[in-house]
Amino acid sequence: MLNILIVEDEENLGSTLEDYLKSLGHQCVWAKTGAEASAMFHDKNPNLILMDIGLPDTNGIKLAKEFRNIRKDFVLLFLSALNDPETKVEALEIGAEDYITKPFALKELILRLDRILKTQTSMETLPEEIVHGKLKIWFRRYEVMDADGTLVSLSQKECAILELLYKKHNEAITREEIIEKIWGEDKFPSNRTVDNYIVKLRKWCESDSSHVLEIQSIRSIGYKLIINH
Amino acid sequence: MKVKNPLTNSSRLLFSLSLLWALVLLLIGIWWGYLITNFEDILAHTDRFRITKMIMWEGGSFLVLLLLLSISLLILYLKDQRKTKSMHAFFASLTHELKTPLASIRLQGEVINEILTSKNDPTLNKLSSRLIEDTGKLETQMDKILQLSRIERGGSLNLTSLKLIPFIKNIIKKLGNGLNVEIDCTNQDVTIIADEFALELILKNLLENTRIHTQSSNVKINILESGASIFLTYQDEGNFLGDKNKLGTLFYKFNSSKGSGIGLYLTNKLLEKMQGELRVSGDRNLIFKLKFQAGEDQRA
Repeated sequence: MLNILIVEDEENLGSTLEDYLKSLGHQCVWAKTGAEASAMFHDKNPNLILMDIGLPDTNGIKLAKEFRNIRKDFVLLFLSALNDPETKVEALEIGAEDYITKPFALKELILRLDRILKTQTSMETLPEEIVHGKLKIWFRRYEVMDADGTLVSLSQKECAILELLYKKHNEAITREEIIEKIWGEDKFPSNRTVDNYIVKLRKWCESDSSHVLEIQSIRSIGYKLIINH
Repeated sequence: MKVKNPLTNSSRLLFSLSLLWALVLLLIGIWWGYLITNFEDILAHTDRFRITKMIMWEGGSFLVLLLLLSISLLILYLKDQRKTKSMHAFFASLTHELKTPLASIRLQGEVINEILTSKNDPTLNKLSSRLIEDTGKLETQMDKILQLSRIERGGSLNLTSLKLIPFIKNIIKKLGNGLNVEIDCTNQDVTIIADEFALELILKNLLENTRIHTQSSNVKINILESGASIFLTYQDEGNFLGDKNKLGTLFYKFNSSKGSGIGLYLTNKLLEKMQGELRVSGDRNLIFKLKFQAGEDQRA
């Protein structure tokens, strides 16, 4: 079950969405304005926010940024009628899991929620804080610490990839598997896109010179996370 | 045949005409200036003063007149430009305003559809499915208008490297209802540089054209790799009776009762923004050849 906050100023859309998600068994609250959303964010501690961008009293991206500064352990999904690349890129840059344009297919939304729920449940089986040498991981907070003690925020996808590699450490994972598990069937990133995500994770691993965590590339197959004790 | 871009052509023409106009004005100015300064010395007879005065007055008023004309033309041109811009902005905001209620209609429709599935009433199921299908059609039309006004105002695309075959298959799954699409490609992992949304719009438009304008439901898509370019050839069994040279012209419809006349124009514009190209060949059975840049994986 997810704890969802819907931020949507359109009455009918918000209300139907709230009822429908509740009927699926999720806990769900609905805010019509930015101010209401802020209050509910503090009150209900949602782990998923469905955020509209054009709100009567504020901008959804700005509001999401404020929420992210308060805490990081929630998944952000934008639901907006704006579909210009500039807005999309800006929204994804603050660590949104996805940007769905209105009108959206309900099935598409439900598939995304299912995937998020799966990652969430899977992360809950891992300890709150994982320490390997000087490196630390907090999956639920979407944060890691490098060997110099600097906190690094991970995006939803980076975190999910790290989690996948971590859970199957010392095993090779194909790029196709990563794409299927992290992006889902309805997205088509190229292998190079996956590589770009790995670059950041690898940089973090390499900050510890004792190589306690290592992400190895396996030529024309994929990746393997090695834990050296 | 490469699809022409009429708007760029007309603004290019306008630009060269104004350049010519400015050049002529400059030359006339220089000529009169030369006359005014030099004729005083050449003309030695008694009429000298009168002729110089005449040249000064005539030339002066001629130049002022030309200058006034140029300024009024410029004002008219700028006004027209501003009007076009505000029209585009109006359509963009209008379609945007329409999208939220449409999203709501679609959501209500889908929830109703889901509730009805358990009720097992074929008539109601059919009706609610049609409701959703039609919101989808409306959505595509609005996306086209929105993209058109965005592109005309100089909007950019978000280019990424993506896998072409699964992308096409997904679009066909979503929108290829009743169409029999055959994809021919040797490399299933072929990647291209594209904007996801724009590519979706381009493919939707081709499929929609087949559905609206042809009797047969057979479509062949062939994908060919050639160096740093990827060519996608789209061919249905249509019978085109219009003027092929006008295809891709904004608002051109050979069959005036169907379509909006912006699909191929937009396709061409979007492909240009992706450093690609649209070519149309064939006589009555048209073949659309779309050129894309190969994705990063491909080049590595």
